[in-house]
Amino acid sequence: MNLLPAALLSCLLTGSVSANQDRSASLLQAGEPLPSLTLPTIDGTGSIDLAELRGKKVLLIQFASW
Amino acid sequence: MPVWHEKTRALRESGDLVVIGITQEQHPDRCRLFAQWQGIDWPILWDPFNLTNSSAVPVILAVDEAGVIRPGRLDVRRFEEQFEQDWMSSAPAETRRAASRPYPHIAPPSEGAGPETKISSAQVAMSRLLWSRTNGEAPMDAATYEEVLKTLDQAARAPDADPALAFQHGVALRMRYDSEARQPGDFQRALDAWMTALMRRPSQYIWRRRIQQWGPRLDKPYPFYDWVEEAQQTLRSHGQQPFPISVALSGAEVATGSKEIPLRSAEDTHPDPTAALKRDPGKLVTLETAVCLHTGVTSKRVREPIGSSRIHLILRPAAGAHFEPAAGPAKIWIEVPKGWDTPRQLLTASSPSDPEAALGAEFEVRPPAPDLQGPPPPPTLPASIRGTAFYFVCEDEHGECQFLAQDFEVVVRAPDVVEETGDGE
Repeated sequence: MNLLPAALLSCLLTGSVSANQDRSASLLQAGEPLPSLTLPTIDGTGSIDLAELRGKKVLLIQFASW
Repeated sequence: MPVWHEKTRALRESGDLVVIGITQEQHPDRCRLFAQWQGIDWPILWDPFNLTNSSAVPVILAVDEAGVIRPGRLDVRRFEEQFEQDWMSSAPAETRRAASRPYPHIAPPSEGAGPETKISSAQVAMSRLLWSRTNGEAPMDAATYEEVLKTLDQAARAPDADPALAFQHGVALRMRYDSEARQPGDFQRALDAWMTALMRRPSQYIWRRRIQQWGPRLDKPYPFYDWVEEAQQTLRSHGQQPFPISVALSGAEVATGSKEIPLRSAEDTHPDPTAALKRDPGKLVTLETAVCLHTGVTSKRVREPIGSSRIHLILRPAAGAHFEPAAGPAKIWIEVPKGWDTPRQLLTASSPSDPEAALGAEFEVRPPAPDLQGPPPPPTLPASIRGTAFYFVCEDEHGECQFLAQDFEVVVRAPDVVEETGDGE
């Protein structure tokens, strides 16, 4: 537990709050603020909390490499 | 995503726009190579558990300075215009924040979380898995894997559990399978967990694609990672060292889709028809199998017979043993039930250069198609597929090498029928 970044925990709880409302709905909905969601980068060297992006114009691209 | 990369280049370079990618792929190494190949230099986040709860990709979202996702669909052909109109000329949607769904801040555990900040044990388990894979962290040990997997399994089995938990349990199982802490059956259990989740929510295409990645060609919407070799060659030709693929690509991950299972082109000859070869009881080589079913079983519209599947065989040298590549590749003989299709009976396993690496072989099977005009066919599942693997293996200590055979049985089962959740296709 001591290794867990607190921000990630907040993102995970965010997920559960949303799930209680509509379990199949995406957390990333138009008109909604970005959740506090911290994920590692694919190279494992860093992480970003989406909620920390406030104050910037952001293009969020969810994709797969295939 | 290369088109978005190019389209946003000027805005990124001027500092007017931040681009962030998110990928839900099981293995981040593939996406990392893709980004290197395409010259993508913006951060890409890894969300294998699909914590964003997205149902499909790609999804392109515009977020204003208030951190609110803008409504409307972005069109790559009109992106500059949309950026000017929607982002530059409109006030940030600050006022909408109050009406949004709540996203409470959680204090770090060390600061003492309030009573309203309940973090489930499953969420903690996933965060441990995610962060154990970042640089500087020691690999998760077997006991910790066991603990987090047990937690996720219990959460997924709880009454009224969100089917996402079954998917996430599968992700964790596959993570352990790819680690040194793997346990027999991890890959199959991952596939089963993903199918359990998908049966309850067939409209979830992130989950469907996770299965199809290892599934039969008949079920492939596209080849998943057939670009990897080209990417590696291109990067090398430009003097760059490609980022490594740390989890070897399976045959399924590079196979092209097909609308038909290939007909058997030739009668193969059994390498050991009298079963004269010495049998390995699994002492020198462990043989693991996994059955990846066609995801059409979740849809009433897909008339693929249940049981159509791709079968993975993994031969792994035990501690103190290694394969002898110079002796030629391992061979696998398979026998399918009467009436079932499979293109070949004699398969050749992959030949990795590392003699201590696992060998893999994959084949596809298809039960007899039901005659829609005739009477219902007799049940074909569960079905037993038997076979024998033939390989040359050496003991490290004494250097003794033997050509051995190992018999196996793969049972193809129908997925568990689960209660409808009402959010299907």
